[in-house]
Amino acid sequence: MSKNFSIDARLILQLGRDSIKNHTTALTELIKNAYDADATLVTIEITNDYVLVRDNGFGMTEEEIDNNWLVIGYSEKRNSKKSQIGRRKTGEKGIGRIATDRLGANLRIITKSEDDNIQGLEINWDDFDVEKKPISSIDIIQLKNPSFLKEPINKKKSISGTELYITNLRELWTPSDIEGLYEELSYFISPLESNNQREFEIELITPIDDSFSKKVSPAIYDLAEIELEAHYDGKKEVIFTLKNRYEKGIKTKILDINEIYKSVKPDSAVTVKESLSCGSFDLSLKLYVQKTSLLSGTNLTLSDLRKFLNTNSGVKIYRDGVVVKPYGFVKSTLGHDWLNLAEKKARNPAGVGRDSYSITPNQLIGSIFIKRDKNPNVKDSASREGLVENEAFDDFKDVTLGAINLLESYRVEIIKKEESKKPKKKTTNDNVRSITKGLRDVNRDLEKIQSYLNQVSDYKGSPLTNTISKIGRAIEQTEKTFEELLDEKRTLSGLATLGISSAVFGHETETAINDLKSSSRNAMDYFDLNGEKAKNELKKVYDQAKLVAGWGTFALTRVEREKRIKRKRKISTIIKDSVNQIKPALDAKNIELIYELEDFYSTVFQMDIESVILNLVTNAYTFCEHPERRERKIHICCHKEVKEATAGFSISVSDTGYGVPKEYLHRVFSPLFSTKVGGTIRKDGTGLGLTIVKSIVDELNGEIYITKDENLKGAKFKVWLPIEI
Amino acid sequence: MSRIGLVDDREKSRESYKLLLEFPLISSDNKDWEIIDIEPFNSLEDYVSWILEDEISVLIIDEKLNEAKFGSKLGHEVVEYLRERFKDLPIYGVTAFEREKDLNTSYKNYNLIISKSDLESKRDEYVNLFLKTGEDFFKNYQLKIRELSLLSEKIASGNYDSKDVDKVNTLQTYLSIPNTSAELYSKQEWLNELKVKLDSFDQLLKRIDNELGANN
Repeated sequence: MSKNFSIDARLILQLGRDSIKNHTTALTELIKNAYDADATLVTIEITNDYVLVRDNGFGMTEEEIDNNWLVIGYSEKRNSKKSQIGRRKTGEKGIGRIATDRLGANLRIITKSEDDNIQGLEINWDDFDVEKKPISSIDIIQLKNPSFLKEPINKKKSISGTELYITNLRELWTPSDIEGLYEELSYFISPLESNNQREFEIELITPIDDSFSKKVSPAIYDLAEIELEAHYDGKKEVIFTLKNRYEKGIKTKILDINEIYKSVKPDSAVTVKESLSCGSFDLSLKLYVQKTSLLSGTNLTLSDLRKFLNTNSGVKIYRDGVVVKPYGFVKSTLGHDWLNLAEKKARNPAGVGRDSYSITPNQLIGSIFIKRDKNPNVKDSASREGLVENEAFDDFKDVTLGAINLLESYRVEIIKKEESKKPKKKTTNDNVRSITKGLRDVNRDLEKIQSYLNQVSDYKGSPLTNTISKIGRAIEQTEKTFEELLDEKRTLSGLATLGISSAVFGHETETAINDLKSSSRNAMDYFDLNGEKAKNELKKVYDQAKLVAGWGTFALTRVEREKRIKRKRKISTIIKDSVNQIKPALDAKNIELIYELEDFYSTVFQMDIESVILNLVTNAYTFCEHPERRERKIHICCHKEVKEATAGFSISVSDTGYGVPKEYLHRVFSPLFSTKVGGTIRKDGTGLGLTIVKSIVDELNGEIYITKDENLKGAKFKVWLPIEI
Repeated sequence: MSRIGLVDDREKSRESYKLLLEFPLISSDNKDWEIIDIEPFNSLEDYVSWILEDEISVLIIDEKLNEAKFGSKLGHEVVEYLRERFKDLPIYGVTAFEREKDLNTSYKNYNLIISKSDLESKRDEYVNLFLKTGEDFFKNYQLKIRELSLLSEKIASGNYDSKDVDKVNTLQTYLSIPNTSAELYSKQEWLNELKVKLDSFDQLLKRIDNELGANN
């Protein structure tokens, strides 16, 4: 006689409970089953009393229940990996039915296949939770006249599907459970289909957190950098709420409809309106930016986001919940960008660093919700798809454009805020210092090892000790290289400064040489004719020659070795001497120099101070012109200044020009950026001078400020550096 | 005597250039020409009255007029203004810095733009060019003045037709003298044009009517 294993009922429950982490996982197993059953809609209801999962999949016949569902561990999914309509099946273990035990003690399952009558079973999992009872001996109740709580209607409009009603819950759902569940579910929804033609949808209904009682949208929807909601009450005001991914909280803004109109059409004549003819409506806009940092914490990639935007971007119009074509449809040539955002961007392609920043149409997903009874003036176009572009249409279009303007300026604002939060970049000097320190530590450790090894006679002269001394030499070499590189950098800054000065003052040299040529010719021509005139011209030749020679000296002395040695020096002398070398250029332009210099010493590289002062004065020379001020002045100031308990000194250079326009303030230090102001002002900045100043100041752990000079009314650049004795 | 006007804001260098250009005149004993040098004017209108009063026949103007002088217009801006009023006056630009962008975009207003170094090295040729173009301009100018005075006499005597009035207007514009009958003239012109346009519009309407009739 053969023997049989018999399975303890409790073991089955144990298996399920072990393999299912928590009730969220249990519930998602059920959703997977519904997906594999080709359902197009799954409804989940969660209350404190019951969990209900209803799908409109193909359901089960009585035979299927007997042969499949009631056979524990059986999974049809092993036989075919694809569902009838070609979905790749998601669940595999055949544990969905046990998952219900994890959710609650009692399960009522109602199912209907198109091929059979409605079926119903009732299971009390607690019946299985007994010892020494074979699983087959526990009865499952077959319902006599089963009926759905709500009939599932499948895609073919007939009744089929499965309803799981779970009571006697094992665990109550908290609002944070619901939030987690929603997030899990959101990954089931394909982001690559648009809302209206989704093949699989999940609807969550729960009083536990009502804000999640909605159709689950793809996880990718939550990647919006900024979300804007607007409500127009049909009267004078629109209420906007804005939130962003970087910070918690909501910003609310209420705008008058006339204010919005003005922001959208600043040039049109003002006609004050009491209300908009379109009637009340709601608007939702989400802005997506292709930025990796926004994807962190999800399993989505930038290419997912790109695909998602390619299929879903656009601002759509929904009337009584039905989408109105062709507005916001990617495939519609005219409809997709019906707000003409691309044109607006093309007219002004400024980036988010500028106040005039505008977004592109494929960054935006939006919905406008209107209703036939609330918005009677919005009418269908008779001849073709779409709406009549009447006043009512223009009204909600203007509000939408106003909302987009608001979104844009909000983005400029938050990005600025985010930028300012970024930690200050480490300077090269800091890095070199920390690397050098690290290397020294390594060196010390190696020396210890070496001296230990030397005591142990076996290791003397071995490859290991050789390696150690090699590393030691390499470290020495590295430190030397660092020093050389820093010296090279200093030399290059000095040479760049010379290059900039040459470019700016080159005109001066050219003029001097021309004057020299014509005067010397005159001297020769008039020598016999008019001695006095000739003498006069000769004197001019001499002056111009001195000038040209001065420029030569200026160039030659720029990167002298002596200037690259750190030494105690009088700062005021460095400033005066270097500015004196370019004074002829300032004189030629009738620029008055005003010095206010305090005498003190600091240990510095002369070249650093020279590069700072020469670049700042060159800059002031270029920009000190102002048509309304009948004077050109440059004010150079230098004095000791303690900052945050650190002894230091400041050098400031002010001029009589226009000052730095506000919108350029944060950019003037970027390499190659140059403000190009037209008219009588010289336009050729190289865009490197201030970058060099900033880099030197950073290296020396200093600060640089740009303000407006109270007396001269132009720009004031102030550099603060710590003093070294 | 004809005059070359030289505009530069830096006194010493202006003086040198005057000497430079004067030398060929002195050595060839040319007494028909003299060079007048001035510093830039504050207003553009002042240039016009200076050219008319001093009867300048050639203008030589530096580009950088705002170096020593505050708030002055640049050379090419002055020339742009003058060119509208003096269609044929020879104007030469002088610059130390040939790569000046603005200067090159307004090249059309100048007879020629000369670099300072060329002006020195090819001085004699340039002075010759100045004198030639200046003489032509001067002759033409004298001719127009004479013509104007003859016509004015004719009109004053009452013995004239509409063509004479047109000519006077043209001459007055050319010589930068205020027009006397311009307003009346322009209105009549406008009315004539309007009538022509109305006529052609009428004809168009008739044609449309005909076309429609033919189709029906």
